Amino acid sequence: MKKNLLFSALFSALALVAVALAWIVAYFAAGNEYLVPSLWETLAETGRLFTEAAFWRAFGFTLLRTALAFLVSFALGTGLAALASLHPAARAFFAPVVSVLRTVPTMAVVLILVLWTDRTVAPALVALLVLFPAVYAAALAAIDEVNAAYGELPRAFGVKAGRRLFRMYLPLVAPALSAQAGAIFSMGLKITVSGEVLAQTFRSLGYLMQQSQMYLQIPRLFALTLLCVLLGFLLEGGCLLLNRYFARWRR
Amino acid sequence: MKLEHVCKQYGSVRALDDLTLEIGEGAITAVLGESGAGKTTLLNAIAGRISYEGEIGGVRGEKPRRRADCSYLFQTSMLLPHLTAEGNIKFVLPKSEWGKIGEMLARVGLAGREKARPAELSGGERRRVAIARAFLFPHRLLLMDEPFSSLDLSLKKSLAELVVSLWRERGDTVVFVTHDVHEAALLASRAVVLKAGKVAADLPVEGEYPRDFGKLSYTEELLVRALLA
Repeated sequence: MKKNLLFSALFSALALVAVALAWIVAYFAAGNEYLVPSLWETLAETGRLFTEAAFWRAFGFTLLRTALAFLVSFALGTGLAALASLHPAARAFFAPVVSVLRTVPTMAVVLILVLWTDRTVAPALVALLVLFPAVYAAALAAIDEVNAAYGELPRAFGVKAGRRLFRMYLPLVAPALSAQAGAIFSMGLKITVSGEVLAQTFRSLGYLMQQSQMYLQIPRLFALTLLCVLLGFLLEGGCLLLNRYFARWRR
Repeated sequence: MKLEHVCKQYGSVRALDDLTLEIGEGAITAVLGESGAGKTTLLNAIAGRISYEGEIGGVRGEKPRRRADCSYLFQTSMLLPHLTAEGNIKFVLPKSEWGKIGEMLARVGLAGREKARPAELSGGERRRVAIARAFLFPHRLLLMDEPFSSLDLSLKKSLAELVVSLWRERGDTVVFVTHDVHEAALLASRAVVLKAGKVAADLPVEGEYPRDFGKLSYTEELLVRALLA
């Protein structure tokens, strides 16, 4: 087990080294700091960002918007999936709504929401609208799987709703959902930042990125992108820990 | 329990066709038939899981209404993977009955295995947990849906003996559906053969318990004849 972990860590580190090497090769091949900045300059800029209060404020607000979108989409997605699993009519009602939300262009939604709401709220709302169908589909699939395998059991024995929920559905559905939560959270971050760029949301990572691009501060733009990727990794790691906690809790 | 003029139609298929039958109190009644004969539909109608025309035990079946006095042994063990053997039984049992779980698990040969999860139990042990759960759940009627269909012969025999010994201790009314003549001959005190939703034969199954496959050729022959007629 320990050997396997060491093996995986080694290959993950190798992948990072490969990306860094590709960056260095691209830097020398482009020969233009405005197209591809040097890795060192980008890393130095990343360090500088950590010392700026404006960056931390932007980081905090972006994270807050992403977390809110994630939490609300999770609550809404799982709640409505539970309802859909109980009533065929609800399932039929939500199906086209979810399809529309899944296919509608994100950028169009941002533009409309900027008109309808506040620039600070629009990115979170867009993330919510994009994440909701993903959460709904994942939750419904997980509930359907539990119903197909074990649904007959509580029905036949007349098990009370509370016991069904806490002893059967939650322990069986939560691991399947928390396994996908990391990917959904990172997607939420990506959508929030895109929304912030388009909506020009003040005090946001997207806004800082747009400013950097406008003033040709390319190392800063790359540094902000790098930090978004790191944040995505952290969020996925956090959800992985949550998944392990669920695995222990359901015992 | 009386089943009077019970009908069930699925589209153009008549799964139960004016079926009238009396199920003896305290007996094990096997319902035999080929696929599509109406066995499972009959079990579901008795359990109140589907609507039907006619009356079962004085209950008209216009709307599905779960019978609270039924317990079940499913075709698969149907144990929740994250719960222990004990936890799986607790899941369906009223709290007032939890005190009996340890004794019942010991009775079915699982003493000391209370805290084992399904993945840590053998196929036979998982069936034993399901049997313990079915007999512990407060009931007047135990319904079994092809309870040993996927098991090998020796396991089938030992589990059938366990079911029979628990049934003899408690005197439950048991109805089970199967397509296996051997299974019916091993367990049942009476066998009802269904064909196209109707009773094609209703035979007493002779023989002292515990029974053996080899000693039942006459009963088995009668049942096979009824099935093939």
